Amino acid sequence: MIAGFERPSQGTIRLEGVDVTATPPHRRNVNTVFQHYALFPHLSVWDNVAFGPRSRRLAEPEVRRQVGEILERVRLSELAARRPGQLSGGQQQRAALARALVNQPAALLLDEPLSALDPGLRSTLQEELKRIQRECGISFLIVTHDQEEALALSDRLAVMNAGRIEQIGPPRQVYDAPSSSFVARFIGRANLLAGGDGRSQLLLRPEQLRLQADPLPSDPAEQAVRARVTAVTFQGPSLLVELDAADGSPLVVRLNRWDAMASVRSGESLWVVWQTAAAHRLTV
Amino acid sequence: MNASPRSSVAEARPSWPWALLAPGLLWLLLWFVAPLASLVPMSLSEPRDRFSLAVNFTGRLDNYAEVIGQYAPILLRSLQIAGSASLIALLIAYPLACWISFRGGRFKGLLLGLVVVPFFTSYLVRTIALTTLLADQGPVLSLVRALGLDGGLESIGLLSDGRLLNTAAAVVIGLAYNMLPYLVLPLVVSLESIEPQWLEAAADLHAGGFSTFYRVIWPLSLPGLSAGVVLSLIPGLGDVVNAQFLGGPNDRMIGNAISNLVLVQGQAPKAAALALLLMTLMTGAVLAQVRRHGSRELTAS
Repeated sequence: MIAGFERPSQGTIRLEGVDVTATPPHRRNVNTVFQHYALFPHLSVWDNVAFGPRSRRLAEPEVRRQVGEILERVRLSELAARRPGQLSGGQQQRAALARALVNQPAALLLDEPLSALDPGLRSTLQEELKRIQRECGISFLIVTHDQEEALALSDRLAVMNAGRIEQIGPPRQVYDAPSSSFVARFIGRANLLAGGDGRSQLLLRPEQLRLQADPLPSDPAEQAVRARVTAVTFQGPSLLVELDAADGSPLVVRLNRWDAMASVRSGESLWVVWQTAAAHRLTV
Repeated sequence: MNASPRSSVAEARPSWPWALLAPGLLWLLLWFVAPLASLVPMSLSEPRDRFSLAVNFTGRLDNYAEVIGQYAPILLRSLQIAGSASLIALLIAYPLACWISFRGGRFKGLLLGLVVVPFFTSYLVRTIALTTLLADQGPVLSLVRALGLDGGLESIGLLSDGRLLNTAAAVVIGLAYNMLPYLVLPLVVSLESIEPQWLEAAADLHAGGFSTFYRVIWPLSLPGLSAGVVLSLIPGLGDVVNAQFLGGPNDRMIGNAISNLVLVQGQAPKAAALALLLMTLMTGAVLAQVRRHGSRELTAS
Protein backbone atom coordinates (compact mmCIF):
# COMPACT_ATOMS: atom_id res chain seq x y z
CA MET A 1 0.00 0.00 0.00
CA ILE A 2 2.86 2.36 0.73
CA ALA A 3 4.48 1.49 -2.60
CA GLY A 4 1.08 1.88 -4.26
CA PHE A 5 0.44 -1.64 -5.56
CA GLU A 6 -2.65 -1.96 -3.42
CA ARG A 7 -5.29 0.57 -2.47
CA PRO A 8 -6.27 0.86 1.19
CA SER A 9 -9.97 0.28 1.87
CA GLN A 10 -9.93 3.31 4.13
CA GLY A 11 -7.61 5.95 5.53
CA THR A 12 -4.91 8.00 3.83
CA ILE A 13 -1.23 7.52 3.14
CA ARG A 14 0.88 10.63 3.52
CA LEU A 15 4.40 10.95 2.21
CA GLU A 16 6.38 13.98 3.35
CA GLY A 17 3.05 15.50 4.31
CA VAL A 18 1.41 14.95 0.89
CA ASP A 19 -1.56 12.62 0.47
CA VAL A 20 -0.46 9.94 -2.03
CA THR A 21 -3.32 7.49 -1.45
CA ALA A 22 -4.45 7.69 -5.09
CA THR A 23 -1.02 8.08 -6.68
CA PRO A 24 0.07 5.12 -8.85
CA PRO A 25 3.38 3.39 -7.94
CA HIS A 26 5.45 4.91 -10.73
CA ARG A 27 4.64 8.44 -9.57
CA ARG A 28 5.43 7.85 -5.90
CA ASN A 29 8.67 8.98 -4.38
CA VAL A 30 9.07 5.58 -2.73
CA ASN A 31 11.20 2.68 -3.87
CA THR A 32 11.16 -0.96 -2.92
CA VAL A 33 13.65 -3.74 -2.35
CA PHE A 34 11.56 -6.77 -3.20
CA GLN A 35 11.75 -9.97 -1.19
CA HIS A 36 13.34 -11.90 -4.05
CA TYR A 37 14.93 -8.71 -5.40
CA ALA A 38 13.06 -8.84 -8.76
CA LEU A 39 16.18 -7.74 -10.63
CA PHE A 40 15.64 -7.59 -14.40
CA PRO A 41 17.33 -10.72 -15.76
CA HIS A 42 18.05 -9.27 -19.21
CA LEU A 43 19.91 -6.22 -17.90
CA SER A 44 23.35 -5.89 -16.36
CA VAL A 45 23.71 -4.69 -12.78
CA TRP A 46 24.56 -1.26 -14.17
CA ASP A 47 21.44 -1.12 -16.38
CA ASN A 48 19.28 -2.43 -13.55
CA VAL A 49 20.45 0.40 -11.33
CA ALA A 50 20.11 2.92 -14.18
CA PHE A 51 16.50 1.83 -14.77
CA GLY A 52 14.98 4.32 -12.32
CA PRO A 53 17.06 7.36 -13.32
CA ARG A 54 16.34 6.64 -16.99
CA SER A 55 12.62 6.37 -16.23
CA ARG A 56 12.85 9.84 -14.78
CA ARG A 57 14.56 10.94 -18.01
CA LEU A 58 17.72 12.23 -16.41
CA ALA A 59 20.48 13.21 -18.83
CA GLU A 60 22.79 10.27 -19.52
CA PRO A 61 25.91 11.85 -17.92
CA GLU A 62 23.88 12.45 -14.76
CA VAL A 63 22.61 8.86 -14.87
CA ARG A 64 26.22 7.65 -15.17
CA ARG A 65 27.32 9.78 -12.26
CA GLN A 66 24.50 8.66 -9.93
CA VAL A 67 24.74 4.98 -10.85
CA GLY A 68 28.53 5.00 -10.46
CA GLU A 69 28.23 6.65 -7.06
CA ILE A 70 25.63 4.29 -5.65
CA LEU A 71 27.42 1.18 -6.99
CA GLU A 72 30.51 2.45 -5.19
CA ARG A 73 28.52 2.79 -2.01
CA VAL A 74 27.15 -0.76 -2.09
CA ARG A 75 30.57 -2.01 -3.27
CA LEU A 76 29.40 -3.48 -6.58
CA SER A 77 31.42 -1.34 -8.98
CA GLU A 78 33.54 -4.30 -10.03
CA LEU A 79 30.48 -6.38 -10.94
CA ALA A 80 28.53 -3.69 -12.79
CA ALA A 81 28.71 -5.53 -16.11
CA ARG A 82 27.34 -8.80 -14.75
CA ARG A 83 23.80 -10.08 -15.18
CA PRO A 84 21.80 -10.79 -11.98
CA GLY A 85 22.04 -14.53 -12.69
CA GLN A 86 25.82 -14.29 -12.30
CA LEU A 87 25.66 -12.78 -8.80
CA SER A 88 25.52 -14.44 -5.39
CA GLY A 89 22.52 -13.88 -3.16
CA GLY A 90 24.26 -11.18 -1.13
CA GLN A 91 25.41 -9.37 -4.26
CA GLN A 92 21.91 -9.49 -5.71
CA GLN A 93 20.61 -8.02 -2.49
CA ARG A 94 23.04 -5.11 -2.72
CA ALA A 95 22.21 -4.62 -6.40
CA ALA A 96 18.51 -4.42 -5.53
CA LEU A 97 19.34 -1.96 -2.76
CA ALA A 98 21.37 0.20 -5.16
CA ARG A 99 18.64 0.08 -7.80
CA ALA A 100 16.12 1.45 -5.29
CA LEU A 101 18.42 3.91 -3.48
CA VAL A 102 19.73 5.59 -6.61
CA ASN A 103 16.34 7.29 -6.93
CA GLN A 104 16.83 9.02 -3.58
CA PRO A 105 13.32 8.15 -2.41
CA ALA A 106 11.60 9.79 0.54
CA ALA A 107 11.37 6.29 1.99
CA LEU A 108 12.80 2.93 1.03
CA LEU A 109 10.66 -0.14 1.55
CA LEU A 110 12.40 -3.44 2.19
CA ASP A 111 10.29 -6.57 2.05
CA GLU A 112 12.08 -9.21 4.13
CA PRO A 113 15.36 -8.08 2.57
CA LEU A 114 17.54 -10.71 4.21
CA SER A 115 15.20 -13.68 4.32
CA ALA A 116 16.53 -15.24 1.11
CA LEU A 117 20.10 -15.33 2.45
CA ASP A 118 21.88 -17.89 4.58
CA PRO A 119 22.32 -16.98 8.27
CA GLY A 120 26.05 -16.18 8.14
CA LEU A 121 25.61 -13.73 5.31
CA ARG A 122 22.57 -12.28 6.99
CA SER A 123 24.40 -10.74 9.93
CA THR A 124 27.11 -9.26 7.69
CA LEU A 125 24.47 -7.69 5.50
CA GLN A 126 22.59 -6.38 8.52
CA GLU A 127 25.64 -4.28 9.36
CA GLU A 128 26.02 -3.32 5.71
CA LEU A 129 22.38 -2.26 5.52
CA LYS A 130 22.78 -0.10 8.63
CA ARG A 131 25.93 1.54 7.28
CA ILE A 132 24.26 2.36 3.96
CA GLN A 133 21.19 3.71 5.69
CA ARG A 134 23.30 6.01 7.90
CA GLU A 135 25.27 7.22 4.89
CA CYS A 136 22.24 7.96 2.73
CA GLY A 137 20.07 9.38 5.48
CA ILE A 138 16.96 7.87 3.84
CA SER A 139 14.28 6.26 6.00
CA PHE A 140 14.23 2.49 5.57
CA LEU A 141 10.93 0.76 6.22
CA ILE A 142 11.76 -2.89 6.75
CA VAL A 143 9.26 -5.72 6.96
CA THR A 144 10.59 -8.83 8.64
CA HIS A 145 9.42 -11.94 10.44
CA ASP A 146 12.81 -12.30 12.11
CA GLN A 147 12.53 -10.73 15.57
CA GLU A 148 16.28 -10.60 16.15
CA GLU A 149 16.69 -8.87 12.81
CA ALA A 150 13.98 -6.40 13.77
CA LEU A 151 15.66 -5.61 17.11
CA ALA A 152 19.12 -5.35 15.59
CA LEU A 153 18.25 -3.21 12.58
CA SER A 154 15.68 -0.73 13.73
CA ASP A 155 15.59 2.68 15.31
CA ARG A 156 11.85 2.39 15.61
CA LEU A 157 10.03 -0.90 15.71
CA ALA A 158 6.34 -1.52 15.04
CA VAL A 159 4.80 -4.86 15.95
CA MET A 160 1.84 -5.69 13.75
CA ASN A 161 -0.87 -8.22 14.48
CA ALA A 162 -3.63 -8.99 11.96
CA GLY A 163 -3.10 -5.71 10.13
CA ARG A 164 -2.98 -3.52 13.22
CA ILE A 165 0.00 -1.91 14.89
CA GLU A 166 0.15 -3.30 18.43
CA GLN A 167 3.04 -1.17 19.55
CA ILE A 168 5.51 1.24 18.04
CA GLY A 169 8.67 2.51 19.67
CA PRO A 170 12.43 2.09 20.02
CA PRO A 171 13.42 -1.60 20.02
CA ARG A 172 14.62 -1.50 23.66
CA GLN A 173 11.29 -0.12 24.78
CA VAL A 174 9.32 -2.69 22.80
CA TYR A 175 11.43 -5.47 24.27
CA ASP A 176 11.56 -4.25 27.87
CA ALA A 177 8.14 -2.68 28.15
CA PRO A 178 5.76 -4.32 25.68
CA SER A 179 2.26 -2.94 25.65
CA SER A 180 0.50 -6.30 25.43
CA SER A 181 1.12 -9.97 26.01
CA PHE A 182 1.05 -10.46 22.21
CA VAL A 183 4.00 -8.10 21.77
CA ALA A 184 5.78 -9.65 24.76
CA ARG A 185 5.50 -13.13 23.24
CA PHE A 186 6.17 -12.03 19.68
CA ILE A 187 9.46 -10.28 20.38
CA GLY A 188 11.81 -12.56 22.25
CA ARG A 189 10.78 -15.23 24.77
CA ALA A 190 8.54 -14.24 27.61
CA ASN A 191 7.54 -15.54 31.03
CA LEU A 192 4.14 -14.21 31.94
CA LEU A 193 3.18 -14.63 35.59
CA ALA A 194 -0.09 -13.78 37.27
CA GLY A 195 0.15 -10.23 38.65
CA GLY A 196 -1.59 -11.07 41.88
CA ASP A 197 -4.46 -8.64 41.36
CA GLY A 198 -6.24 -10.72 38.66
CA ARG A 199 -6.07 -7.89 36.13
CA SER A 200 -2.40 -7.75 35.29
CA GLN A 201 0.50 -10.00 34.33
CA LEU A 202 4.17 -9.77 35.13
CA LEU A 203 6.62 -10.07 32.28
CA LEU A 204 10.05 -11.53 32.97
CA ARG A 205 12.51 -12.21 30.16
CA PRO A 206 14.41 -15.55 30.41
CA GLU A 207 17.69 -13.73 31.07
CA GLN A 208 16.16 -11.88 34.05
CA LEU A 209 15.58 -15.16 35.89
CA ARG A 210 18.07 -17.13 37.89
CA LEU A 211 18.09 -20.65 39.25
CA GLN A 212 19.14 -21.74 42.70
CA ALA A 213 18.91 -24.91 44.69
CA ASP A 214 18.18 -23.39 48.09
CA PRO A 215 14.99 -21.64 49.04
CA LEU A 216 14.87 -17.88 48.88
CA PRO A 217 17.34 -16.00 51.07
CA SER A 218 15.91 -13.15 53.03
CA ASP A 219 16.51 -10.46 50.37
CA PRO A 220 13.29 -8.42 50.27
CA ALA A 221 14.05 -7.21 46.73
CA GLU A 222 13.73 -10.72 45.31
CA GLN A 223 10.93 -13.17 44.70
CA ALA A 224 10.95 -16.86 43.87
CA VAL A 225 8.80 -19.78 42.80
CA ARG A 226 9.53 -23.48 42.97
CA ALA A 227 9.69 -25.29 39.64
CA ARG A 228 10.74 -28.54 38.04
CA VAL A 229 13.09 -28.67 35.05
CA THR A 230 11.47 -30.20 31.95
CA ALA A 231 14.12 -29.55 29.32
CA VAL A 232 17.60 -28.08 28.92
CA THR A 233 18.75 -26.82 25.52
CA PHE A 234 22.38 -26.02 24.85
CA GLN A 235 22.65 -22.92 22.64
CA GLY A 236 26.38 -22.22 22.56
CA PRO A 237 27.00 -19.17 24.74
CA SER A 238 23.86 -19.83 26.76
CA LEU A 239 21.57 -22.56 28.02
CA LEU A 240 17.82 -22.44 27.79
CA VAL A 241 16.17 -24.18 30.73
CA GLU A 242 12.46 -24.91 30.54
CA LEU A 243 10.56 -25.53 33.75
CA ASP A 244 7.08 -26.12 35.12
CA ALA A 245 6.18 -23.91 38.08
CA ALA A 246 4.37 -25.40 41.06
CA ASP A 247 1.08 -23.95 39.76
CA GLY A 248 1.67 -25.62 36.37
CA SER A 249 2.60 -22.51 34.37
CA PRO A 250 5.65 -22.94 32.09
CA LEU A 251 8.81 -20.91 32.67
CA VAL A 252 11.93 -20.47 30.62
CA VAL A 253 15.29 -19.34 32.01
CA ARG A 254 18.40 -18.38 30.07
CA LEU A 255 21.65 -19.18 31.86
CA ASN A 256 25.16 -18.14 31.00
CA ARG A 257 26.91 -21.37 30.11
CA TRP A 258 29.42 -20.77 32.99
CA ASP A 259 26.57 -20.24 35.47
CA ALA A 260 26.87 -22.33 38.64
CA MET A 261 23.57 -24.02 37.72
CA ALA A 262 24.58 -24.82 34.15
CA SER A 263 24.69 -28.54 34.90
CA VAL A 264 20.96 -28.83 35.77
CA ARG A 265 19.12 -31.80 34.34
CA SER A 266 15.53 -32.54 33.51
CA GLY A 267 13.47 -33.60 36.48
CA GLU A 268 15.37 -31.59 39.11
CA SER A 269 13.32 -29.32 41.34
CA LEU A 270 14.73 -25.82 41.87
CA TRP A 271 13.92 -22.28 42.80
CA VAL A 272 13.42 -19.66 40.09
CA VAL A 273 14.41 -16.25 41.43
CA TRP A 274 14.08 -12.69 40.11
CA GLN A 275 14.41 -9.09 41.18
CA THR A 276 10.92 -7.82 41.95
CA ALA A 277 11.75 -4.47 40.34
CA ALA A 278 12.79 -6.11 37.07
CA ALA A 279 9.29 -7.38 36.33
CA HIS A 280 7.28 -5.37 33.83
CA ARG A 281 3.57 -5.17 34.64
CA LEU A 282 1.17 -5.76 31.73
CA THR A 283 -2.48 -4.83 32.03
CA VAL A 284 -4.65 -7.60 30.63
CA MET B 1 38.39 -39.71 0.15
CA ASN B 2 37.77 -36.22 -1.16
CA ALA B 3 40.53 -36.68 -3.74
CA SER B 4 38.65 -39.36 -5.64
CA PRO B 5 39.66 -39.29 -9.30
CA ARG B 6 37.41 -37.56 -11.76
CA SER B 7 37.12 -40.59 -14.02
CA SER B 8 35.15 -42.50 -11.40
CA VAL B 9 32.50 -39.77 -11.49
CA ALA B 10 32.24 -40.11 -15.24
CA GLU B 11 31.98 -43.87 -14.93
CA ALA B 12 29.18 -43.52 -12.45
CA ARG B 13 26.97 -41.91 -15.08
CA PRO B 14 25.06 -44.68 -16.84
CA SER B 15 25.12 -44.82 -20.61
CA TRP B 16 21.69 -46.39 -21.10
CA PRO B 17 19.79 -43.05 -21.29
CA TRP B 18 21.35 -42.69 -24.74
CA ALA B 19 19.30 -45.70 -25.73
CA LEU B 20 16.19 -43.57 -25.28
CA LEU B 21 17.39 -41.52 -28.23
CA ALA B 22 17.69 -44.55 -30.48
CA PRO B 23 14.12 -44.87 -31.81
CA GLY B 24 13.88 -41.19 -32.72
CA LEU B 25 17.36 -41.15 -34.14
CA LEU B 26 16.64 -44.21 -36.25
CA TRP B 27 13.38 -42.74 -37.51
CA LEU B 28 15.05 -39.49 -38.53
CA LEU B 29 17.93 -41.32 -40.21
CA LEU B 30 15.58 -43.49 -42.22
CA TRP B 31 13.01 -40.93 -43.31
CA PHE B 32 14.81 -37.61 -43.14
CA VAL B 33 18.57 -37.91 -43.43
CA ALA B 34 18.58 -40.74 -46.00
CA PRO B 35 16.12 -39.14 -48.47
CA LEU B 36 17.82 -35.78 -48.06
CA ALA B 37 21.22 -37.37 -48.67
CA SER B 38 19.87 -39.10 -51.78
CA LEU B 39 18.98 -35.65 -53.14
CA VAL B 40 22.66 -34.75 -53.26
CA PRO B 41 23.64 -37.20 -56.05
CA MET B 42 20.33 -36.51 -57.77
CA SER B 43 21.05 -32.78 -57.84
CA LEU B 44 24.28 -33.60 -59.68
CA SER B 45 22.59 -35.74 -62.34
CA GLU B 46 20.83 -35.35 -65.69
CA PRO B 47 17.34 -36.63 -66.53
CA ARG B 48 17.50 -39.86 -68.59
CA ASP B 49 14.46 -38.99 -70.70
CA ARG B 50 11.47 -36.63 -70.68
CA PHE B 51 8.94 -39.17 -69.49
CA SER B 52 10.23 -40.56 -66.20
CA LEU B 53 12.09 -39.36 -63.12
CA ALA B 54 15.02 -41.70 -63.82
CA VAL B 55 18.41 -39.92 -63.82
CA ASN B 56 22.01 -40.52 -64.86
CA PHE B 57 24.65 -39.34 -62.43
CA THR B 58 27.05 -37.07 -64.30
CA GLY B 59 28.38 -34.83 -61.54
CA ARG B 60 26.71 -31.90 -63.24
CA LEU B 61 27.15 -28.80 -61.01
CA ASP B 62 25.44 -26.62 -63.61
CA ASN B 63 22.07 -27.61 -62.14
CA TYR B 64 22.81 -25.30 -59.22
CA ALA B 65 23.92 -22.40 -61.39
CA GLU B 66 20.88 -22.80 -63.59
CA VAL B 67 18.29 -22.96 -60.79
CA ILE B 68 19.87 -19.98 -59.05
CA GLY B 69 19.68 -17.97 -62.25
CA GLN B 70 16.22 -19.15 -63.14
CA TYR B 71 14.49 -19.22 -59.76
CA ALA B 72 16.13 -16.37 -57.84
CA PRO B 73 13.19 -14.05 -58.62
CA ILE B 74 10.67 -16.68 -57.42
CA LEU B 75 12.73 -17.28 -54.30
CA LEU B 76 12.78 -13.57 -53.64
CA ARG B 77 9.03 -13.29 -54.16
CA SER B 78 8.48 -16.29 -51.89
CA LEU B 79 10.52 -14.54 -49.23
CA GLN B 80 8.41 -11.41 -49.68
CA ILE B 81 5.12 -13.29 -49.49
CA ALA B 82 6.13 -15.48 -46.55
CA GLY B 83 7.76 -12.47 -44.83
CA SER B 84 4.65 -10.29 -45.16
CA ALA B 85 2.47 -13.15 -43.97
CA SER B 86 4.75 -13.69 -40.97
CA LEU B 87 4.70 -9.98 -40.16
CA ILE B 88 0.90 -9.74 -40.38
CA ALA B 89 0.50 -12.89 -38.30
CA LEU B 90 2.93 -11.39 -35.78
CA LEU B 91 0.94 -8.17 -35.51
CA ILE B 92 -2.09 -10.27 -34.60
CA ALA B 93 -0.24 -12.85 -32.50
CA TYR B 94 1.74 -10.49 -30.24
CA PRO B 95 -1.19 -8.67 -28.62
CA LEU B 96 -3.08 -11.97 -28.47
CA ALA B 97 -0.18 -13.70 -26.69
CA CYS B 98 0.17 -10.76 -24.28
CA TRP B 99 -3.48 -10.88 -23.49
CA ILE B 100 -3.46 -14.65 -22.92
CA SER B 101 -0.36 -14.47 -20.68
CA PHE B 102 -1.19 -11.42 -18.61
CA ARG B 103 -4.99 -11.39 -18.61
CA GLY B 104 -5.85 -15.00 -19.36
CA GLY B 105 -6.17 -15.94 -15.69
CA ARG B 106 -7.90 -19.26 -15.28
CA PHE B 107 -8.98 -19.27 -18.93
CA LYS B 108 -5.38 -19.43 -20.10
CA GLY B 109 -5.53 -23.13 -20.92
CA LEU B 110 -8.83 -22.75 -22.75
CA LEU B 111 -7.57 -19.79 -24.78
CA LEU B 112 -4.41 -21.65 -25.77
CA GLY B 113 -6.60 -24.60 -26.72
CA LEU B 114 -8.63 -22.34 -28.99
CA VAL B 115 -5.43 -21.18 -30.69
CA VAL B 116 -4.56 -24.80 -31.41
CA VAL B 117 -8.07 -25.91 -32.47
CA PRO B 118 -7.48 -25.27 -36.21
CA PHE B 119 -4.90 -28.07 -36.12
CA PHE B 120 -7.78 -30.50 -35.62
CA THR B 121 -8.73 -30.01 -39.27
CA SER B 122 -6.47 -30.81 -42.15
CA TYR B 123 -4.29 -28.00 -43.40
CA LEU B 124 -5.52 -28.57 -46.94
CA VAL B 125 -9.20 -28.44 -45.94
CA ARG B 126 -8.67 -25.20 -44.00
CA THR B 127 -6.95 -23.56 -46.92
CA ILE B 128 -9.59 -24.67 -49.42
CA ALA B 129 -12.24 -23.34 -47.04
CA LEU B 130 -10.55 -19.95 -47.35
CA THR B 131 -11.29 -19.96 -51.10
CA THR B 132 -15.00 -19.78 -50.21
CA LEU B 133 -14.41 -16.91 -47.79
CA LEU B 134 -12.26 -14.95 -50.21
CA ALA B 135 -14.31 -15.70 -53.37
CA ASP B 136 -15.66 -12.88 -55.56
CA GLN B 137 -19.15 -13.19 -54.03
CA GLY B 138 -17.83 -14.44 -50.67
CA PRO B 139 -18.43 -12.84 -47.28
CA VAL B 140 -15.11 -10.97 -47.08
CA LEU B 141 -15.51 -9.10 -50.35
CA SER B 142 -19.22 -8.49 -49.69
CA LEU B 143 -18.30 -6.83 -46.40
CA VAL B 144 -15.54 -4.81 -48.05
CA ARG B 145 -17.94 -3.61 -50.76
CA ALA B 146 -20.70 -2.88 -48.24
CA LEU B 147 -18.26 -0.69 -46.28
CA GLY B 148 -17.18 0.99 -49.52
CA LEU B 149 -13.57 0.03 -48.91
CA ASP B 150 -13.04 -1.71 -52.27
CA GLY B 151 -11.74 1.41 -54.02
CA GLY B 152 -9.21 2.11 -51.29
CA LEU B 153 -8.01 -1.48 -51.09
CA GLU B 154 -7.69 -1.61 -54.87
CA SER B 155 -5.48 1.49 -54.87
CA ILE B 156 -3.05 0.03 -52.31
CA GLY B 157 -2.88 -3.20 -54.32
CA LEU B 158 -4.76 -5.49 -51.95
CA LEU B 159 -7.48 -6.10 -54.52
CA SER B 160 -6.92 -6.53 -58.23
CA ASP B 161 -9.87 -5.79 -60.52
CA GLY B 162 -12.14 -6.11 -57.48
CA ARG B 163 -10.95 -9.64 -56.80
CA LEU B 164 -9.18 -11.11 -53.79
CA LEU B 165 -9.00 -14.78 -54.67
CA ASN B 166 -6.12 -15.64 -57.00
CA THR B 167 -4.04 -12.65 -55.86
CA ALA B 168 -0.82 -12.43 -53.90
CA ALA B 169 -2.83 -10.76 -51.10
CA ALA B 170 -4.92 -13.92 -50.73
CA VAL B 171 -1.76 -16.05 -50.47
CA VAL B 172 -0.48 -13.75 -47.73
CA ILE B 173 -3.80 -13.92 -45.89
CA GLY B 174 -3.90 -17.71 -46.14
CA LEU B 175 -0.32 -18.09 -44.95
CA ALA B 176 -0.78 -15.61 -42.11
CA TYR B 177 -3.86 -17.51 -40.95
CA ASN B 178 -2.03 -20.81 -41.02
CA MET B 179 1.02 -19.34 -39.24
CA LEU B 180 -0.85 -17.83 -36.29
CA PRO B 181 -0.52 -20.73 -33.81
CA TYR B 182 3.19 -21.11 -34.59
CA LEU B 183 3.70 -17.52 -33.50
CA VAL B 184 1.31 -17.43 -30.55
CA LEU B 185 2.63 -20.53 -28.78
CA PRO B 186 6.34 -19.61 -28.50
CA LEU B 187 5.39 -16.03 -27.66
CA VAL B 188 3.21 -17.23 -24.79
CA VAL B 189 6.07 -19.43 -23.56
CA SER B 190 8.35 -16.39 -23.50
CA LEU B 191 5.82 -14.07 -21.90
CA GLU B 192 4.95 -16.65 -19.26
CA SER B 193 8.54 -16.54 -18.03
CA ILE B 194 8.14 -12.87 -17.13
CA GLU B 195 7.66 -12.66 -13.37
CA PRO B 196 4.86 -10.33 -12.27
CA GLN B 197 7.37 -8.98 -9.74
CA TRP B 198 9.51 -7.57 -12.58
CA LEU B 199 6.56 -5.54 -13.78
CA GLU B 200 5.96 -4.32 -10.23
CA ALA B 201 9.65 -3.46 -9.96
CA ALA B 202 9.43 -1.45 -13.19
CA ALA B 203 6.45 0.51 -11.85
CA ASP B 204 8.29 0.98 -8.56
CA LEU B 205 11.22 2.42 -10.52
CA HIS B 206 8.98 5.07 -12.05
CA ALA B 207 8.38 3.42 -15.44
CA GLY B 208 4.90 3.97 -16.89
CA GLY B 209 3.00 1.37 -18.89
CA PHE B 210 4.64 2.00 -22.24
CA SER B 211 8.11 2.29 -20.75
CA THR B 212 7.59 -1.00 -18.89
CA PHE B 213 6.52 -2.65 -22.13
CA TYR B 214 9.45 -1.68 -24.24
CA ARG B 215 12.15 -1.95 -21.58
CA VAL B 216 11.01 -5.14 -19.82
CA ILE B 217 8.29 -7.08 -21.66
CA TRP B 218 9.55 -6.57 -25.22
CA PRO B 219 13.20 -7.57 -24.63
CA LEU B 220 12.15 -10.59 -22.57
CA SER B 221 9.76 -11.72 -25.31
CA LEU B 222 12.41 -11.58 -28.04
CA PRO B 223 13.42 -15.25 -27.77
CA GLY B 224 9.79 -16.30 -28.29
CA LEU B 225 9.37 -13.76 -31.05
CA SER B 226 12.37 -14.97 -32.95
CA ALA B 227 11.39 -18.62 -32.44
CA GLY B 228 7.89 -17.83 -33.70
CA VAL B 229 9.21 -16.06 -36.76
CA VAL B 230 11.47 -19.01 -37.59
CA LEU B 231 8.68 -21.53 -36.96
CA SER B 232 6.24 -19.62 -39.19
CA LEU B 233 8.61 -18.40 -41.87
CA ILE B 234 10.10 -21.80 -42.69
CA PRO B 235 6.89 -23.70 -43.45
CA GLY B 236 5.60 -20.51 -45.07
CA LEU B 237 8.58 -20.27 -47.39
CA GLY B 238 8.28 -23.88 -48.51
CA ASP B 239 4.49 -23.81 -48.72
CA VAL B 240 2.76 -25.17 -51.80
CA VAL B 241 -0.89 -25.27 -50.81
CA ASN B 242 -1.70 -21.61 -50.22
CA ALA B 243 -0.17 -20.37 -53.48
CA GLN B 244 -1.85 -23.18 -55.39
CA PHE B 245 -5.37 -22.62 -54.08
CA LEU B 246 -5.43 -18.93 -53.21
CA GLY B 247 -2.89 -17.40 -55.59
CA GLY B 248 -2.99 -16.63 -59.28
CA PRO B 249 -0.61 -17.93 -61.93
CA ASN B 250 1.91 -15.19 -61.12
CA ASP B 251 1.89 -15.82 -57.37
CA ARG B 252 3.69 -19.16 -57.43
CA MET B 253 6.14 -19.72 -54.64
CA ILE B 254 9.34 -21.71 -54.51
CA GLY B 255 7.49 -24.82 -53.31
CA ASN B 256 5.24 -24.68 -56.37
CA ALA B 257 8.29 -24.29 -58.56
CA ILE B 258 9.88 -27.43 -57.11
CA SER B 259 6.69 -29.43 -57.49
CA ASN B 260 6.30 -28.14 -61.05
CA LEU B 261 9.89 -29.14 -61.91
CA VAL B 262 9.25 -32.69 -60.76
CA LEU B 263 5.68 -33.31 -61.80
CA VAL B 264 5.38 -31.29 -65.01
CA GLN B 265 8.81 -30.73 -66.45
CA GLY B 266 10.36 -34.04 -65.39
CA GLN B 267 13.45 -32.16 -64.16
CA ALA B 268 14.11 -34.06 -60.94
CA PRO B 269 17.83 -33.03 -60.73
CA LYS B 270 17.02 -29.33 -60.86
CA ALA B 271 14.22 -29.83 -58.34
CA ALA B 272 16.68 -31.58 -56.07
CA ALA B 273 19.20 -28.75 -56.42
CA LEU B 274 16.54 -26.15 -55.66
CA ALA B 275 15.24 -28.11 -52.68
CA LEU B 276 18.75 -28.49 -51.26
CA LEU B 277 19.42 -24.77 -51.65
CA LEU B 278 16.19 -23.96 -49.82
CA MET B 279 17.00 -26.50 -47.14
CA THR B 280 20.45 -24.96 -46.59
CA LEU B 281 18.93 -21.50 -46.29
CA MET B 282 16.40 -22.63 -43.70
CA THR B 283 18.88 -24.69 -41.70
CA GLY B 284 21.10 -21.63 -41.54
CA ALA B 285 18.20 -19.57 -40.18
CA VAL B 286 17.36 -22.17 -37.51
CA LEU B 287 20.98 -22.52 -36.42
CA ALA B 288 21.29 -18.74 -36.14
CA GLN B 289 18.14 -18.67 -33.99
CA VAL B 290 19.32 -21.48 -31.71
CA ARG B 291 22.75 -19.89 -31.34
CA ARG B 292 21.23 -16.63 -30.32
CA HIS B 293 18.35 -17.63 -28.10
CA GLY B 294 18.74 -21.34 -27.40
CA SER B 295 16.16 -23.91 -28.37
CA ARG B 296 13.74 -23.60 -25.46
CA GLU B 297 11.05 -21.57 -27.21
CA LEU B 298 11.42 -23.55 -30.44
CA THR B 299 10.80 -26.85 -28.73
CA ALA B 300 8.49 -25.78 -25.94
CA SER B 301 5.62 -25.45 -28.37
